[in-house]
Amino acid sequence: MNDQASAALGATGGSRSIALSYDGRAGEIGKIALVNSLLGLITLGIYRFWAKTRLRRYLWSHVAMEGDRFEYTGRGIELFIGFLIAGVFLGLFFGALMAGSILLDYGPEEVNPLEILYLLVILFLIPVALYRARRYRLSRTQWRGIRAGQTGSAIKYALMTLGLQVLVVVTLSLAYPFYRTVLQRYRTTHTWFGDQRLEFSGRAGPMFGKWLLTLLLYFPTLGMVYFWYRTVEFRYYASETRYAGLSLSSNLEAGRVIGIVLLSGIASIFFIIIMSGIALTAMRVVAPELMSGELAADPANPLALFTPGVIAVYVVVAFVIIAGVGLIQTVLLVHPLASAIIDSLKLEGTIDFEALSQRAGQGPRHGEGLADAFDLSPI
Amino acid sequence: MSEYRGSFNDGEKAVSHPVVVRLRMLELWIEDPGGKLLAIWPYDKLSAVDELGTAKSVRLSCVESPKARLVVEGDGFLEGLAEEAPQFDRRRRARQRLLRRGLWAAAGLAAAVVIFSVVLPRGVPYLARMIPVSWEETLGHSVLDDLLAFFAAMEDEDQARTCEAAAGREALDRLVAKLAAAAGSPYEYKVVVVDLDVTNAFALPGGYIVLFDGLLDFAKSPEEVAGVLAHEMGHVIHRHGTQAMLRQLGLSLVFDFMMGGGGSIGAELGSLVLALSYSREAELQADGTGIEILQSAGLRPVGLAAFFKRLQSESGDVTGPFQVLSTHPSFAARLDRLKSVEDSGEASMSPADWAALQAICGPDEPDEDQTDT
Repeated sequence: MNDQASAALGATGGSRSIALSYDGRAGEIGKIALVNSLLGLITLGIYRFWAKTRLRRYLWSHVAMEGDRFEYTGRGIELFIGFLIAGVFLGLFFGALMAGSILLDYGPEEVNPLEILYLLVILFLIPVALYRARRYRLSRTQWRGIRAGQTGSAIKYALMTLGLQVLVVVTLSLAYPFYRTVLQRYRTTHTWFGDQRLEFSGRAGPMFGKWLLTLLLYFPTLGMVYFWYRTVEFRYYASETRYAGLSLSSNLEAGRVIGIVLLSGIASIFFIIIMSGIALTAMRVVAPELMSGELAADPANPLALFTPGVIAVYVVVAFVIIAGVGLIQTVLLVHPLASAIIDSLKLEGTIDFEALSQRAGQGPRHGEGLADAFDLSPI
Repeated sequence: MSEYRGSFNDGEKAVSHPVVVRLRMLELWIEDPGGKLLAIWPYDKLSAVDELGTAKSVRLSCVESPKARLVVEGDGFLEGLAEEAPQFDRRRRARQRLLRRGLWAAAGLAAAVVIFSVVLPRGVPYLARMIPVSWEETLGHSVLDDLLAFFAAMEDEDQARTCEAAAGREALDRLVAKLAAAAGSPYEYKVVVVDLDVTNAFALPGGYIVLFDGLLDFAKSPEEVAGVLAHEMGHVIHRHGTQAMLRQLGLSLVFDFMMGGGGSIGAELGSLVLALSYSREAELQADGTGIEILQSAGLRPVGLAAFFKRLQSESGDVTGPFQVLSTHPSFAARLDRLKSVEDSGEASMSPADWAALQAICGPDEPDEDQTDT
């Protein structure tokens, strides 16, 4: 235990239990998701940074601890500027790669070294983006006016991730619990709330047997066992996480998580099937000759099939599916998962909130640029 | 004077202080339970932290001490506050929200209009002109490879059947050389004949032109083939293929952005819509240049018109089995323009060359239409 935590222990007696709670409502969050989709489509996607911000503000403000709500202080413009900056750099880089690929003119059978470079850069940038996005989100998260934050280096995190991924591949995934735990430790121990950081004592060993079981049951359970693994892992990681004088714990149930995942997945599939049926019916009306197969696709001119009626049906259906799946994901996946996860969390121990102060500094000025450019931070 | 209960965070320590909140004349007073004044927040400096109406409590911040937070529970506070601070008035907030969304929508529409009617139509031809011919050639070559692989796959073959009968090839090369000399452009034209029964031809960037055997069968005279070739050369010279690729790239960027990465359907869709609306002008341009090439080569320029006329009478306008030209302007409009061209000049090919060209794909199934041209 560190000095500050001992000091906190000295300052107050008695162990306490602090629960976290989530009281968001499906109707409200659904309305936000719907308005977000519509404005997103109308504005050619530019609104989505503000959309994401609005959803986060709602989610954060419905999480409470000790009677006080969390707060998300991020702004849409920060995400937008971050995206623009990342977009310019990525655009220049990938534009150069693409031009290079065309000019080198590799045949379909040959290995294009630029494509390998492209793949490596993407593999490296994904963890960089994820780590930076987490830093931004934490720096915009506060409770009782005290900010959270993240230190550490995104580049170091990405190098660790790549190295561990190689290890996972080489060991035929046996090293997966190690990979997960090492990264979880890096993330957790570089996470701050106020002027104190989180501690993590988790090890890969206890998860190893569970991973073997997961591998064994993966195909018989159609992959559902993976959600069980992640739930058990979540509980274990929580139990190994401490903050100041408090120990975290979670009683998240795998059954509930799997139920939520299944229900939202099935609902999405049904929605897409129904919409496709509607689309087919509409196509029969606007382009009967296309649907009856009388009109064969022309190799020289595939555009010929696209009459204005077909295009109109296509546009409307694509937009309805995108908005509808977004709504289903928010209301049936994000919302109930947030509820299950947050309500499962409890902090126990002793803490002196009087000794917990704001940390100096402001956090990153811009948003999640890279992560947004790769579409890595849906919430 | 109304007073409410709440809690206060000073933004320095993670402690909530129970407070009494009073709505005074111009400010909100925050006092501890003992009556000691902790802070005075002017109404016009206040703002709500959360979206109002979704939680039972109201959380406020004040620009004068941006880290501090005041949470007030209980009914009536928001209404009381709204009387003093108009930014909390429900109707006013609803109006502002509507206005904000309207502005977003308007900005989105404006962006769409700018992208689709200025950036793409003006910027793409400009960019296409900046690309060196050698780049276009490499690009055209790789697209040709892909297309040939695609045709092969359609016919379930390893390689697309291209037609290379020696006599036909020589005849075609003679015609192409004549036209190319007249075109006087920096391109070296490479015409590939593909053995598919499709009445079409198209141009790729960098001077690659694909002729389908079906077009050679359909053509009744060498003038028609020469007309189509000159038309495709017009596309090459105006870099329409390169423009189309740049446009597709730009559009897929726009749609990817719009759908947040998962926009492949949207991207395809968008490029199709644009291909439809763009090509009309391009076709007319290629027609004009094609006629100029034929005329300066001293060849009879009526072939193109004759070709369209027969296509039109066989397929009607746009619909029917000859879907090939449906992205093109209506034949009638193009014929109107082509009709005014004076019909003078030499024949495009000798009868022997024409026979050889028609046989370039080897012996065809007998075709009684072709007896007398």
